[in-house]
Amino acid sequence: MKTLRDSSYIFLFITVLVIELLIGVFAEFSDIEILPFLILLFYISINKFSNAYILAFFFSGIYYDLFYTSNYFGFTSAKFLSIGIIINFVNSKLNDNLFSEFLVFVLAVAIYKFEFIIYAFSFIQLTIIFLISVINYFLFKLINITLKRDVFKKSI
Amino acid sequence: MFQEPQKRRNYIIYILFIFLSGSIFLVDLFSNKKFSNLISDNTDFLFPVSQEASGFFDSLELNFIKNKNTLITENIRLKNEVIELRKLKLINERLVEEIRSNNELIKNVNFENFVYYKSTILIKNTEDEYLISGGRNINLNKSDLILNEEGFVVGYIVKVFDDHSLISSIINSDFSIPGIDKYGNQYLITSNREELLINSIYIEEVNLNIDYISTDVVFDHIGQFPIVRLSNEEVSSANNKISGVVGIDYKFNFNSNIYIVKEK
Repeated sequence: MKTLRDSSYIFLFITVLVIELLIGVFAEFSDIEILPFLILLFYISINKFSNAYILAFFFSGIYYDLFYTSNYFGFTSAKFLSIGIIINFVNSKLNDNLFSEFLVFVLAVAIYKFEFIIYAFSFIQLTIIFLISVINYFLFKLINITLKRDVFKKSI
Repeated sequence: MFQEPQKRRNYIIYILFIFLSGSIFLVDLFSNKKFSNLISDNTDFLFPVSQEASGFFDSLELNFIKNKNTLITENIRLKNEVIELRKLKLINERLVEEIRSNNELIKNVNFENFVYYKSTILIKNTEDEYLISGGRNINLNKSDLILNEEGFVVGYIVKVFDDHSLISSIINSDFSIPGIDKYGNQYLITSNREELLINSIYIEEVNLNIDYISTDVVFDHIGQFPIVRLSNEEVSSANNKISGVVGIDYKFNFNSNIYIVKEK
């Protein structure tokens, strides 16, 4: 049962990762990107952080390194796992309000896109990262509200 | 009360997995990517839908239509014909565009010793690298040059898969290619994603009247292909060094006409 659960999480993560790449295709390579995989990582990191997702983090990174990048093997896995642990840690230390949560999301985007900040640091890049954060945070809140709605409490 | 120790245990396991990823990274680094290439060379997976599967769905659709009455069948047939005609119109427009870009390429490049494979962009990854069509199936290798329709180098291959390849393009910050001018001066051309940065690495003759910087066989390239045009750009010289900055106007999209150049 545990193996089935872990496999389904791995499958979910890889599917969302492929969807993120396909959204990039439909968006015709715009700088302002929609990042469903990052939203998933963020959601798991702050709401469902546990060991159950560790293999999903690890293997989705391995899959990405194998088929979509020229990175060394394990690089993206380490990045995804670091996002999970850093975001959970920072979120637990901050107050539970919208602004703090948004700041943590900006941090998650900054780690996710750290190559752009390190290799091509400019005001334009920072603006793009901020805009990506705003759009994706809005989507994250939308998904979060939808998932939190308790259908059993609703009157029929 | 029990949450904190549990959380700490989670952190420890996550950190252990980060170390595991780091160990794999180091193995791959010190084996010069032999480890990752071994796996990616033997498996190939880009999209989850295969050609056979889409053919299967097409035949199912045809069987379904056959069972309808004649009038509906005729109606569907006509609709399909219109769709087919629209598709043909689109194909025709695409072919006209391809002929135009091929003519453009013919004007700019040498066809004697080289063969040009037309390629298309498939996907952009989160590091802004592009996956293009064509891989081991057309005998591509690492460092093969990618040209645009004007014959300018816009990238090179960094990883080859069965039917697609990963390229480093002029909009990637790790793009780096050596080039030579007509005086024999050698340069290293790098990118900061918005501009190409040109810095001399070997000076034969200090002359700022540089038209083009091109690839060359001295850098193990297969021939001379222009990388940047400097005739209308500002180039400076100081301490026996030549440098310049050229803005990147080229934009990649799905209609980009890109070519992979190989020796005949």
